[in-house]
Amino acid sequence: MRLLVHNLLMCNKCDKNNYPLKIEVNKSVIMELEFKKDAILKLIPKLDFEVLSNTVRELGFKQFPKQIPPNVEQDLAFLKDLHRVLFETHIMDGQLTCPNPSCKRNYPITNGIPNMILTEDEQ
Amino acid sequence: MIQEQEHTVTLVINQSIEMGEFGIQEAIQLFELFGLSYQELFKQYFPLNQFPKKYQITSQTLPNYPFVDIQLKDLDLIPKVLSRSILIHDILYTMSRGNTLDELPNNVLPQAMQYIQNPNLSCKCDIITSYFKITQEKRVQLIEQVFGEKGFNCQNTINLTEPDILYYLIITKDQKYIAGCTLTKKKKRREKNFARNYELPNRIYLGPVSLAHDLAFLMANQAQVQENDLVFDPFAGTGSSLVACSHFGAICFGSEIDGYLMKGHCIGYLNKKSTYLKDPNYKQVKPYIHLNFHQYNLPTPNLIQADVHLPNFNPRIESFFDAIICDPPYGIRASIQQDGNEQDLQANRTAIYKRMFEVARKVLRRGGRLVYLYPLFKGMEKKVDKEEGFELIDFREQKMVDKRSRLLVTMEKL
Repeated sequence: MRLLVHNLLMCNKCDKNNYPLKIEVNKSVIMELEFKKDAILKLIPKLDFEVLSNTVRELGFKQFPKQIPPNVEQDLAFLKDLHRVLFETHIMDGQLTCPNPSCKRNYPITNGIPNMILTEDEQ
Repeated sequence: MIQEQEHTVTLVINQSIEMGEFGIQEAIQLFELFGLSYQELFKQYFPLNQFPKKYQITSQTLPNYPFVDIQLKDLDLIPKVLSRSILIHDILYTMSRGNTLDELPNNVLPQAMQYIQNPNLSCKCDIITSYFKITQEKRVQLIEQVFGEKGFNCQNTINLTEPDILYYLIITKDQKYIAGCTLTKKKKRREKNFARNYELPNRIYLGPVSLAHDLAFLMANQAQVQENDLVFDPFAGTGSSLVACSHFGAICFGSEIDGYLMKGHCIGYLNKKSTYLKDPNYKQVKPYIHLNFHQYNLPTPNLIQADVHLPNFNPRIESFFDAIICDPPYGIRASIQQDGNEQDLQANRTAIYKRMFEVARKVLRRGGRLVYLYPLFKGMEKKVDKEEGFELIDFREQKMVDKRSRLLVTMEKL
């Protein structure tokens, strides 16, 4: 699971304060991928950048900027960091947790795929 | 003002019975993708004031089908269209046409002479007919008659394996003749067979109803998937549709309710016949669905295990995707394999398609394409219901066993 996916997921068991999901990583891998500037630039406006940035910094990449830098199109260093974060970093094992204190539903990530399926009585 | 010159070219659509008229819709979508509208493409066939819808253009309305004459200003469209086409066999520069063979050499276009009279080009000649066979003897005789001394008197050298130029004699179903040649470069012609690398019998990881590779590419073409497009398959299975989209450079997302199928337990299986198993780069990884992307050096897709009835996307997903491509469950092949209660299956099917549209309404951008397969059983009418918020772009039937068939439907979000 890439952090790009984390950026789009919410808890379905509850309907309040259910985003962003807390993330716990047991195993992650880097799989290198060709850097495509156009792909990154296309995704930037679609991201919840604050959520992405908080997550990335919580996971240990402390220098990651809190906001999208000005002149982002020319900021190759930032775009390459974002490429690494969005496309190359995969969480293979871990879990996602609903941030709502009265829910806290866990969603396991195994073999790199988060399981978001609810049991019948949760639906 | 200089009038841009138009060239007549002939599309040769693949005459695969299995793929029916998917070739016509593919030609429409690919020329449109590269900037030529279907009204422009078929302008010589229909009057402007009664121009048919895309899905009304069929083999019945195109007189020389599977050969389709079109006018092009820009010949560079030819390699672009061929580079991603599955069912356009070739696009030929039309050199001459005639009601009899003898007429052909007299009708050669002056522009074609530069190819015919160039001794530095190597060539190969062949014949394409419409749904009938001719003997090898007759073939050789016709080629000699048309391209030999008494015909075009071609000055090219002959090279049967890697010719610079391919000449074709087309014999239409009403026994008229078209002589054409390919203008695409040798290297480009080889690339034209890109899809063969993706055939399912050689795919490393398969499920019970993995989508055939050619159908997956046809669907990606219907959606006009391009570099960096965001594509979603809500019924991703073993990832067949996403492999095709990924080949065209899309950033792929998939959800699947059956986690086992993606990860590789139960019904999914490693294909022992796949040559990828012997590839030095082969490494068994979990989830197995990733293997189908490693096999072709494609980026792995973004997958979640989720129920399409309850997708866990937050509101940011609104208008996120450029295309949705899918083969929803309880489809035609699943129902051939399982003898389920047909009424139950139909109820499930209705619910699934309803949900597919709900999801598409939310996550597709305006103008984004929804391309899906829809099963037809005995007695069901070949039609597509109107769907609020979508425009029907095209639908074509694929005949299958036992009078069953399925529709390939292309919708566009309004």
